[in-house]
Amino acid sequence: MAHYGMTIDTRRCVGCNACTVACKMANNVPEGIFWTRALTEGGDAMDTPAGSYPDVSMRYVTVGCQHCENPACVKVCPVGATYKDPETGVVRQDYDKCIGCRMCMSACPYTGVRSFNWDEPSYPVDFATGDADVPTHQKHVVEKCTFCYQRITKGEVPACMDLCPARARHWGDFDDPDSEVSKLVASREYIQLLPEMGTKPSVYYLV
Amino acid sequence: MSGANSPQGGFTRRSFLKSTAAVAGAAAVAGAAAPALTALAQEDAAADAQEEYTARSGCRGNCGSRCPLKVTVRKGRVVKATASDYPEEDAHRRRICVKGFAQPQRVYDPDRLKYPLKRVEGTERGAGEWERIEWDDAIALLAEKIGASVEQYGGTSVAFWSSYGSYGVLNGAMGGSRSMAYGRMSTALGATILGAGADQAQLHAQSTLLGINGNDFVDAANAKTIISWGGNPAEAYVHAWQFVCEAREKGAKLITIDPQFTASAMHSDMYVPVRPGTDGAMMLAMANYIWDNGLADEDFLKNNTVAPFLVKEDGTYLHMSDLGVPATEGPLNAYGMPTVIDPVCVWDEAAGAAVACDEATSFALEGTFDVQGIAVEPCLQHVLKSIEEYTIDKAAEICDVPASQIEELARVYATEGPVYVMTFQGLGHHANSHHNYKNLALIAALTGNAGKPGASICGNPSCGMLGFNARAYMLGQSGPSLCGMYLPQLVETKKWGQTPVDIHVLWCHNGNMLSCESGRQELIEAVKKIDFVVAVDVNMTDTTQWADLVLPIPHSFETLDVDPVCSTPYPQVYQKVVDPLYECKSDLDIMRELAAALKMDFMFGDATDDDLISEAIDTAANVAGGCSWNDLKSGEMVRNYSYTDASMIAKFGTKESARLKFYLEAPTPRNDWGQEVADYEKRPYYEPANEAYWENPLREKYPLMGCSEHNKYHVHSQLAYTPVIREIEPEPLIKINATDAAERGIQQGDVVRAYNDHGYVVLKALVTEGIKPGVVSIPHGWQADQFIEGHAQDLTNIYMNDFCSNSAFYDFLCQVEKYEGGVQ
Repeated sequence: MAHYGMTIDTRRCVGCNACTVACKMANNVPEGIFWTRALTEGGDAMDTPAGSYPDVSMRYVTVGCQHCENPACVKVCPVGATYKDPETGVVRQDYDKCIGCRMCMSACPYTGVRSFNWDEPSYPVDFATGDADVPTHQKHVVEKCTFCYQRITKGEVPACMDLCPARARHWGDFDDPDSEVSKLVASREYIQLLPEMGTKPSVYYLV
Repeated sequence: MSGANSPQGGFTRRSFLKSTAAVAGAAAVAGAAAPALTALAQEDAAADAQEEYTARSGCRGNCGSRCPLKVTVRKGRVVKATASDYPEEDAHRRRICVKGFAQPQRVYDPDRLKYPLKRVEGTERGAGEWERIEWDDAIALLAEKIGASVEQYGGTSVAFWSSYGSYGVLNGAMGGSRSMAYGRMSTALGATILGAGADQAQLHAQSTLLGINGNDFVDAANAKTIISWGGNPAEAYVHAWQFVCEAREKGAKLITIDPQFTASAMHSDMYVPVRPGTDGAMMLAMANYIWDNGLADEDFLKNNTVAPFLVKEDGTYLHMSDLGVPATEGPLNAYGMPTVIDPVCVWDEAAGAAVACDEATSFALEGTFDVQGIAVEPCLQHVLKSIEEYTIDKAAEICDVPASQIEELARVYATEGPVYVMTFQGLGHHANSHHNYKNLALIAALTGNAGKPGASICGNPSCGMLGFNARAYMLGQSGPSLCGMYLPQLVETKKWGQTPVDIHVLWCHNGNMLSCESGRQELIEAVKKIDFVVAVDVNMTDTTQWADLVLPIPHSFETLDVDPVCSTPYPQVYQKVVDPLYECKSDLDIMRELAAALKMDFMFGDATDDDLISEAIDTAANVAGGCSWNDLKSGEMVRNYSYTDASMIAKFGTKESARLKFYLEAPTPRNDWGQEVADYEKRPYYEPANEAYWENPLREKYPLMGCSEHNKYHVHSQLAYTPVIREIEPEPLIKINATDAAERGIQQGDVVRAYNDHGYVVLKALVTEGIKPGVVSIPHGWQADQFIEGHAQDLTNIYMNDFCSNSAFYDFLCQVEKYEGGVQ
């Protein structure tokens, strides 16, 4: 039994999107979809700050599925395709059960972390990249970050953790008080995304 | 349905169930087929696993990082690239970025060149009309053109033009031509070598003339203050960033000096919004402030720098030979050339006399002295007198930064050390840039911010180099070797200095010069005047587009090579991870076939790739140090034996030759064709840039100062079309400050035209508060067809400072207007 989660240090993150591409390549994520990406908190476009030059400010927040302890998506799934894995705490998505109703997408308060394959997924190359054991992406199915379930069940870290150039990301078991993530959350100031929604995310942003 | 046979992956449970259901239906008739299918599925998975292997290669292309990559191949295709693991002692150096992760797609990029292509007869060069030809015909054509050119116009009529594409021993172009392929061919022919123009302000002034390398980036963690000066570790060299973070977490201050508000600036404690191209003036004002306010580290100045060297009125040092002690012959230098020993004098206060530096015990920094009738003064005093006019107020005006901020910067630099300065190449893209490096050395000398843990003038992008046998590359002498940016001048004058150089064949390799050097339109005009142009590359590029013959070479994962430059203490080994795609041939294989066609088989004989690498790498020292090719070729991470903990910190000693230089007694230009060298090249100095300076009357017409950036999504023009990268950053954008945009009626995402007398480019605007008003920036690396019209490098010009022959990418003015033309 574990409760896996992440801390992301916004005082280190530079929005380089290495995690974005590592995830996309490892999971053979189809064109037009990102399971995680670096969002800019600042101006009205990517990589732009708020304020008036030179008194400006900016912050990057990498956002994927928050693997909530109290996931809004799980409650609304009519077929149990979205469920919380008791072994890992990971919010999983069973493609084969998914009926494509997209209730989870509307229930999830974190816009953009889930996507729906309206069409047959497309790829820039005609073979699968990434891990050999990634489930095939399917049409009419909702998908999202799996915390690289194929990796963590083998004791490996998710692709976005391998390798954050800024060493901003940490991964581990929040049930283990000695884990790096537990210690970071205990010792550092942090924010969580939309705490008022009561979802209790497993991703902590160190500030 | 995504089925078991989908090329996009494995066996889904649903597809498996559906398959078994179908088979089960049939099984009702045919018997026990379902269990057999289950077994088959298991066998497939096992077979897939067996078909998977990993090998060592790396990101090739010079962002300076040379990240070693572990590449996974499945069923013959590259499916994954991740950072190679480093041995425990260097585990913290493990590195990759967005570009490394994207390499599997880059291998299969849509713009990969597949076959030799010949310009269609009767079409204009650059028109993009190609016909596929056979390799044999391509080689025959090359041999015919090169053979005829050499015979008629001499070896120098063939020119090899490159940039920093690769430093590989077999196929690369270190220093313009150093590799087995290009070194042997160019020296056998006596060909002209055209090298890169980019980054030469820093390379020539700082690395070559001042001999300053700086500390390992790992050492930045020991700094109390880090100044990102024109550099941008958070984006442009992200591998250094973690060490900046480490220092900050221990309480270090981060300062960013940059006209653009970068991710480094975002994390900074102090942001200095400098006007482009004026940093040198700020440095000189800091030097004056530090000296005038008694903040200088006199011990360091006296004992570890050239500050006490006595300078004569003509600007040269007082040598013992001036005092009647004859110079003596020294040992041969590393290149086997004779050296002369003629010690430099200092004023020894204890002795009250001028004595050889290495004999002195006390060093005067001030005073004027008469030594045997020769008027001399200490170098520092000589320099400070020459920069008196650069007060804080004057710099504030030139740099458009509050005086109080420059004062604060000078105070922090002098008192809150050790200070680690990170410049990368950000300070090096104006015609006046090379002075910055002398000025930086001066402020470091004044404060002792060099040669100590945490104190560095610049980050050292390499952890040394594995020694190699450069003679193995040579079969004679090449013709003149010079910066390729002189191509228009060569084509016009047909000579280099007094040497006739009449280029009839131009061979472009290891670079995309017509995308990545400045002054693109002028370079294209010169290329057009050359009889025959061949370009070899992995992808169709802005340069290959202008060739008559285009030859496809392999991606770095498809060819064996080794790069002796150690960006971390590990030489970069490229194993041949997969066979070359399509009909690609390595540069070396092309040269082997060409040599045979030219009846010059002696060039490579029967030597295999392994033999040739061994010839270059297996020096006695490398073999003894455990870095033979045999050691390296396994793909294991083998540490460069010559890089030790002591190598991490640049050292400045007390001996004459080991002191930190901020003054050049005999400044030599990078390319010497007999041009005059100005006296100020000797000393810290500031002059306005060539075009991009605020007072330039041209600003009435073109009020905006140009700029660019080492963007996180490009390695120069590599990855220009790599799909996953282009999903994140689909098109080029010109950054323009919101105030400048509003004045021009430009809104976020509008299509705009940036133009000047050199050319124009049409692209979308990124309206932002993240760039200084009056400055615009277009990231470099985009290809011509990715702009709506024109090209970013059409705004730049060919003007170079003749002292360092440096592409001055940022040194342009332009105007930006909303584009009214039709856009699809």
